[in-house]
Amino acid sequence: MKAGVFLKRFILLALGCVMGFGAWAMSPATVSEYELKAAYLYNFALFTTWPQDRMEEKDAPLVFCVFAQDEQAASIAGLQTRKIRDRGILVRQIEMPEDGRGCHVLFFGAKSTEAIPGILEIVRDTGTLTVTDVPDSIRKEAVISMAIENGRLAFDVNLLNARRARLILSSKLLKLARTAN
Amino acid sequence: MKINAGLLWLTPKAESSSLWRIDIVVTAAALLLAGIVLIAAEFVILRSSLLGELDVQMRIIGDNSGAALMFKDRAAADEILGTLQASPSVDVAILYTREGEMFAQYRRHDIDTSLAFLRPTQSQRATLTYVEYLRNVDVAGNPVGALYIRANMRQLYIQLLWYVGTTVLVVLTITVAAALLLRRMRRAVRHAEERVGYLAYYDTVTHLPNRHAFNECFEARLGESREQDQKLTLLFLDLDDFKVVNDTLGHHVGDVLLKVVAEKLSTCIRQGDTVYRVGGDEFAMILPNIDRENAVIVAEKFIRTLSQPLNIEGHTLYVSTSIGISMFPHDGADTATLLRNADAAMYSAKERGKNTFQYFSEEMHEKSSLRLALEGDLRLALEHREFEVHYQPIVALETGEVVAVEALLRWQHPAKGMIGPNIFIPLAETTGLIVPIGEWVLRQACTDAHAWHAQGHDVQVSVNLSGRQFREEPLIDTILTILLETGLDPSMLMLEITESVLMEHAEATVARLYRLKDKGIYLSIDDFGTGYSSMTYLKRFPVAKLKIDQSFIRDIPEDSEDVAITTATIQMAHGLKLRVVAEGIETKAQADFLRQRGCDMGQGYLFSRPVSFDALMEYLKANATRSQ
Repeated sequence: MKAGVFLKRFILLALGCVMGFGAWAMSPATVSEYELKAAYLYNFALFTTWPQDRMEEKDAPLVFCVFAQDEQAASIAGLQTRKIRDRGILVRQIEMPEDGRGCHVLFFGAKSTEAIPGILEIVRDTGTLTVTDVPDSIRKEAVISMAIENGRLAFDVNLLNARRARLILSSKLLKLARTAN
Repeated sequence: MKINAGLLWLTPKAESSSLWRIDIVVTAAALLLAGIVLIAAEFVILRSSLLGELDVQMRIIGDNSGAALMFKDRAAADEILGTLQASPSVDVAILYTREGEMFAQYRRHDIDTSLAFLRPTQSQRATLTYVEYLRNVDVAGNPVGALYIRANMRQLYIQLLWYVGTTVLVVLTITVAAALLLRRMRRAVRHAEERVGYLAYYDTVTHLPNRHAFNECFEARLGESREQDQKLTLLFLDLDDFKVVNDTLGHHVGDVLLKVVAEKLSTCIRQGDTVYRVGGDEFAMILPNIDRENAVIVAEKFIRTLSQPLNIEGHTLYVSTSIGISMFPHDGADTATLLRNADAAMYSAKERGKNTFQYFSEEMHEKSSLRLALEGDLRLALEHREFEVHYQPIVALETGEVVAVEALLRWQHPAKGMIGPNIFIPLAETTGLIVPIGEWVLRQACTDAHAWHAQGHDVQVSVNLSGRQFREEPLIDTILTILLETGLDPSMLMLEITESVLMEHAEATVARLYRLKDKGIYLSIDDFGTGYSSMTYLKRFPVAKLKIDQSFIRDIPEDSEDVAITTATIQMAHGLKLRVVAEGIETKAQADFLRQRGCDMGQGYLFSRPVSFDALMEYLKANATRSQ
């Protein structure tokens, strides 16, 4: 009897998921794209190991930074309720490149282009996971860059940047990356 | 009821064979049981190792697919699940998202796709043909999905089948091997049992049934005879002088002789009758329901058969036998009495000059019980100082001077008075008591001789040595020790041995006699003329003196034959440079005749009967005065 209830719930869930996925795939510019990217951001953090000096305080939260004016800012702010290995997540909305100091994860989108070179200069070797979804050449400066491909969100990893940032990315993550070099 | 002693111990073969079969069945059952237990254990082990393997695989897959689930990377998830191809037992693997959606699946190529695999409710379910696992996929402690794996147990059963096959093969092999081994062991045991049975009932030298078999059979036959009121005759047969053969030619020849005798005896009997070997050189026969005349015929046949010379290991042997016969119910009512009486009759036959047979009589019983009583007394006589040594002077016939004395043993029985040596010496010989008695006589004689020698009487002492004493290994040492103890000059001692002793011990004797001679002890041959009287022997042995037996002296000078023998003996002895003594001289005519013929010395009642030590001392004193 219990199995029957479960079965019904499962079928409904499965149906819901398939329909949701279909909707997202048909209109990539919907809100769910931001949500998906935010979820990816969270996942990247999950497979990342920061250098010792960035994790000294035991229960200090991981700091996720995003430019206040970025379209992504709202969805990233939603991650604040999640946890990564017993650490909370603190989402900081930044305005100035100087605000980038102390970030564990830094996301920059197309809207924050002018501030990027400055902030990259600041966080280059401070152990910050830089993630972007910009399509132009500046994406080469980030550790991970996301892109839509065949209606699916894919990502590339720049190992050189990761090494420079003293970050260790899980091989599981690298395995899923479209390119990793 | 006929008892065959030879079959008493045989167990029926059928029983042994069924026992063997039971053993095999038990062995096979035990092995089979062990096999079943092993197979069950192997099943449990294989199954738990399969589950363990699956568990490990699930952990690996789950760990690896976490990221793919998180990034919704179906291609990566498919790839990860695809690695399960290497594991032939995994039929199906399905990855579910956190929300319960089927995210990726693996299905082995031969699995029917129409089978609906529904997400099970239990984390683990195992049936006899498959096992199912459902486990959460976690990343950093957070569940991101679930992994379902269903594995068949085909591989396990194939392995188990191999195992069963091997076990069955091993069980069969061991059973067959055990069967062969058991049969061989059983055969060996049966052989051993038969051998033991044979040894218990048969004599290995002659292959005749032994005393044990005889006793059982005789008891049974006696029972039958009693019931049917019939006669039962017992023949007791003893080889004469078998000991001589054994001692002179060795036990091997003795054994061969017994074997030949056994064969010869076996040819003399009727079909169905048996000869038993009941002792060293004793045989027995049971003759049911025959009368005296027929028993006599059988006994005579035995004696006749054995009186023919036997050629054994290059020796020509003349054996004779003495047979005693007792008969139920006339001579006894029970086994013990009949046996004892047959034995007494046999002894009587021996006393009558051997090579004959005797029926039992009451008189024999008395005699044999007398002998038994006397034997007991003889054992105590030495301890009770009932023996005494007397001496009979031996004089030089020419001068009448006493030159020697012969030591003679006397037994003063506390109840029966004086007992003659002709009665107790043979008894002492058969019982072996002659050895300590002879030693005592020698010591006493040497002590006494030392005494008269000290008083100036230059008189040698002659002591008889029996054949039995001669067989004792330390004889020479004993003699030398006694001489040392008593302080007697060895030249004052003369040892007398009979011809037969010399014959019996030939080679060894020569060496021993020379040892004695080297010590200065004189040797004399006693009772010359009664045995083989071989000249060759006389030449070979270091003998100084020869004593002519009194049987030749008794009738001289009247009996011309004795005269001839005596004369010839004296001449022969002188020719060999031996001195001659004649014993048993009772008349002056005998003494005169012997002196004329050159006989050196004489001994007998004419000169003196055997006297005590004290009387001898008187005699010597008187004799010394007379000679002067």
